[in-house]
Amino acid sequence: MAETKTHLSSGRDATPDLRSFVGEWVVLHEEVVIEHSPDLKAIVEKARAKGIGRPRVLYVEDRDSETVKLGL
Amino acid sequence: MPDVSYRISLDYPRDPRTGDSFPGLWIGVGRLGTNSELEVQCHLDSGAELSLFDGQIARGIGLELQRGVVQAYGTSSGATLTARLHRVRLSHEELGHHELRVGFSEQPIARNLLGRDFFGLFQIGFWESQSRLLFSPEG
Repeated sequence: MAETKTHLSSGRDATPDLRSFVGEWVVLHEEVVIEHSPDLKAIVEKARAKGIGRPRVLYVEDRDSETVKLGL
Repeated sequence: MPDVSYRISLDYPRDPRTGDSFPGLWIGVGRLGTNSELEVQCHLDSGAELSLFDGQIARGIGLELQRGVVQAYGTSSGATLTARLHRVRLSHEELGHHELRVGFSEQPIARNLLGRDFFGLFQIGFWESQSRLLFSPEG
């Protein structure tokens, strides 16, 4: 687990920014990745320690843009 | 034929990974009786009878995943995954706060799903051509 600050771009430009976090959870704060790890609880605790009361979390799915999604 | 009107219109969120928009929400999932809450991205899935979140989210808000009642979920591929049911608070700035008993998966899942239990709280419209969701509270 490492502290990382990766800025998300808008629209399709966001693609390369999260590629290095595939298979991990990230904490987003003001559109910046501030924590990442396969262990969600660990990064939530780190985010809360930084004063973020309601962390925004996202699992970065391993999926190429050509794959059609289903719910499950 | 009933006329349907909606009070709330929300843009589809974008998947930060691909930039694609989709019918879903960023929604707060909170442990009842506390202010422990996470904001998570969810897909609206009318094919899901019950909402389903990744089990790590339960742990992230301080729930003991295994203390929930076991619930099996059948997937479109025919596989079955198991989840634990917990009552949580779902919060959204425009949609308000709602308590729901939802599933938290025992296996990792790629997407959180808001299902027909959530749909029962609102009249929901999908305006796909405009990439917008439309809501009116039920009752």
